[in-house]
Amino acid sequence: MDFLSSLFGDQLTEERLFLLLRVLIILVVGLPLLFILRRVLNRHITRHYSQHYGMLAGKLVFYLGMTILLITLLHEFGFSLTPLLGAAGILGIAIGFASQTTVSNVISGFFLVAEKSFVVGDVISVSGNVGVVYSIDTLSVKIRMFDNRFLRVPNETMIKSEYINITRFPIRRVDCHVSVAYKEDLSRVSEVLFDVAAKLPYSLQEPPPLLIFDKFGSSSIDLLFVAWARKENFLKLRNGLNMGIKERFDKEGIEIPFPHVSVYAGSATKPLPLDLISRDGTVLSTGAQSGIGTGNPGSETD
Amino acid sequence: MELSNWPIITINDREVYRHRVGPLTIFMKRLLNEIWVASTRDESIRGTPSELPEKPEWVRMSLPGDFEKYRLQPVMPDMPVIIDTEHAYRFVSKTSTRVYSRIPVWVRIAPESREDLVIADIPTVILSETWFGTFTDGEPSYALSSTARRILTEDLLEPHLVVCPLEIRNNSDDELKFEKVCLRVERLSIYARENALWSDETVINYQGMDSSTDTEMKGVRPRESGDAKLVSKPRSPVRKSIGQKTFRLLKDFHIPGF
Repeated sequence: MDFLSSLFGDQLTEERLFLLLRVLIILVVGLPLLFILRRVLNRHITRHYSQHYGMLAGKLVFYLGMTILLITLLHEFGFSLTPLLGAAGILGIAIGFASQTTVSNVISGFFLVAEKSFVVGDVISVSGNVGVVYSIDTLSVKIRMFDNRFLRVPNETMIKSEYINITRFPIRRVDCHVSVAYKEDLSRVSEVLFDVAAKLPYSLQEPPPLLIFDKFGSSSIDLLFVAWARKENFLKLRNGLNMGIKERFDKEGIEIPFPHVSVYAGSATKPLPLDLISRDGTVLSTGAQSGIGTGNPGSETD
Repeated sequence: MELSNWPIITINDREVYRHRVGPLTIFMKRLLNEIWVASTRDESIRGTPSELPEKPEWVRMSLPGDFEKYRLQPVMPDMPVIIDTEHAYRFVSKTSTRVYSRIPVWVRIAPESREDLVIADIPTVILSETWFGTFTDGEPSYALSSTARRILTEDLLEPHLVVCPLEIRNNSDDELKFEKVCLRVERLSIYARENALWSDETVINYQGMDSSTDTEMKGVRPRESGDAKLVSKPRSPVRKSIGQKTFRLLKDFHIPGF
């Protein structure tokens, strides 16, 4: 005590020393307690409800606790709260005007949480970026993209823009665009497609797979085959279906055609003349002489 | 009482043990306090177990002790089973019937002295998954096609199939179209007699489209099973009666989701 008195002189009274001690106790006990409380609450609610609610409850308790701690400290230092709150109100308005974007983000954050269009852990697509919602914070939504990049989207942007929640519903549809040659028997193709889906255990029987005739393409008949899976099996089904279809088509001799073009010289009635040339460059015959490429009008030459 | 399909087995160190249950063959080997489990399925449902595949997919498990004896036990699948009748089946008002469905069991492996220590639950037959509910809400289930037999003969009793007697009562004034029924197998026990497996009886009381269907698990062995002994308790505790969706609402899936 004497040492401290000699160091600080008259400024260190007994009263001030006790005040310092109280403040220290509040900080040393209060801050760790608040961190522990946040972690315990987060874990408990995450285990019993969801990660989203765990995170929200943790943050709520933490910020509330910090406010109480700050008020307690100010009270210890002898600040009266009434004028302080009044000043804070005026200051708040001033800061609000000065930082409209920030305030907008904070308010948007409340709406995002209240609307519950997505929660922490959902997979969402925002402006073409797909990833898992990592956290919904005061100013922004944090997303972990699948290539492990970090995406930060301001809450205001989220509110204003369209986004897709990919994992909101428990089941998802896999679309397979399948093209087959014009010569193929479509009822046989249909049989094979449904059989491929039926052999995959994670392809749901209900809702049933569906085959849709898409269009007569330039080189093929285009079909759309859809099947359903639980959202966690989506990729497994997509890979399984596409690989299964290729394998079965090869086995059954069903042709998946490459794009091809029929070329005509001039009108469709006159075929393209061909010259027959040997390896050493000698012209064996020309189309006009030999009749090569002079088939019936309308015949095609690839 | 020990059943030949569901034995207590002794596995010596480093020795590969094989056992067949229906189309499933289980391979087990022990290495110190580790147990290794692999499985394969084939077309046959009886006879000697299959040979160990060239590259078996072993699953290793470290145990809290050196166990020599293991119990193989039939258990129900881990999700409800949607039974799809092969032919449309209609019940006019105030009628009831008793049908039998056969459900492929799973094989549970656990040390004989520590049955709570489940090493593996392996399905004898891989069933396709299906969805019971709407596009936005429902539950995953297994799909099973059944003829919903009225008469069960001895030759239909297979060691890997548990016979589930279903009493369906249409208590409503409407006609009941029985196309699909959700059987909550995780709430059923299994009884065994001479390698035939039976589940406890399920009574489904249909009250009409506007009321929920009352499903009652009797919790006692069916009369057809004779003196069958309880070999497996339900995965989830049985409640006397559960008012849940049992018959599928067809209208939900008529729009193919576009």
